[in-house]
Amino acid sequence: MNIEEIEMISESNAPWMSHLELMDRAVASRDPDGAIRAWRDAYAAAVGDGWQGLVEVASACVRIGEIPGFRKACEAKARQTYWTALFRARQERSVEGLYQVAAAFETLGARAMAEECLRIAESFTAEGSDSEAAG
Amino acid sequence: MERLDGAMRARSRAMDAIVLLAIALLIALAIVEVLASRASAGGPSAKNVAAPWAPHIGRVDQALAQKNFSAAVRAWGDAYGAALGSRRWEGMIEVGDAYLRIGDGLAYRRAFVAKAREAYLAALFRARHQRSLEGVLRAAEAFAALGDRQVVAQCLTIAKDLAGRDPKAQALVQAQASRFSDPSITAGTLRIEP
Repeated sequence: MNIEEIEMISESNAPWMSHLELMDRAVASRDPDGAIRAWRDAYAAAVGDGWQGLVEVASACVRIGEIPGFRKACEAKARQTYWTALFRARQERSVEGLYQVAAAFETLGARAMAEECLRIAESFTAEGSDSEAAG
Repeated sequence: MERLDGAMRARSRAMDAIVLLAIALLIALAIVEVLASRASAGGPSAKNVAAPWAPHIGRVDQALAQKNFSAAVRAWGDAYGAALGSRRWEGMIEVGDAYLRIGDGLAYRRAFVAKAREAYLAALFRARHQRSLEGVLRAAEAFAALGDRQVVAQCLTIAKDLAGRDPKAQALVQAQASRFSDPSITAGTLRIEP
């Protein structure tokens, strides 16, 4: 095993992980078609799940951007997927999920989107404190 | 006579040039000395240049102490940007560690492991690229703390390669390898030493 293959090591058995492992192999062998195909399969497996799978799949998309010429398109796709994850986290009222998505947007330099996530998380936290105080 | 005058003028100009050069050299040495003394004094500005992510990591920890998770994530974003821009492995290790601390603060560590792992991987790639044995071993520590033993094994292979024939470096790698193979060490108990 060489260092480029380390990203493929995963002990998670989430349904999208096997696709992401294939994707990482394709990225390591500079095969964009294979990488995109595997990423789409991972997305399909994750989209029916919660925000967490979407965050993992979106982060993986950024890795396809390591293939020369794909960075911009992959970052745009990752951003869209984080956006979907944001809606999912909001729907699930998951403050943890919102913080995760905020941090993910930060890694893409999308500060305005990160702020939006944090604003929603803060509103949920405040609502939680209010209901606790009322209870 | 004219030739003698000409030669004396030329010598005088050369002497002037030497004196000017010596003065310039003295001024340059004085500047270097002042900068060196500032750096060794460890003033905040010198420290920040050395680790531009550090002040932001400090803000992460301050925010966590106040249970202000939004502020912690904002500061983490700044730390990530600074670490990424520095192109140094140390920053990515610290960013990964800080991310786990945010997860711990939220009592939701598991979900935060994936991104911390990404930061550690970036640190490992940078350390290998810079041929930094210390960096590779620090990354190994971080992966060991996550219980990621396969990647730890890979880190040790890289570390052995970097150690080459240097007996001190080899001993260091061997010592770390023994620590990681110690069955009494379980995930999450390893700590990065200062």
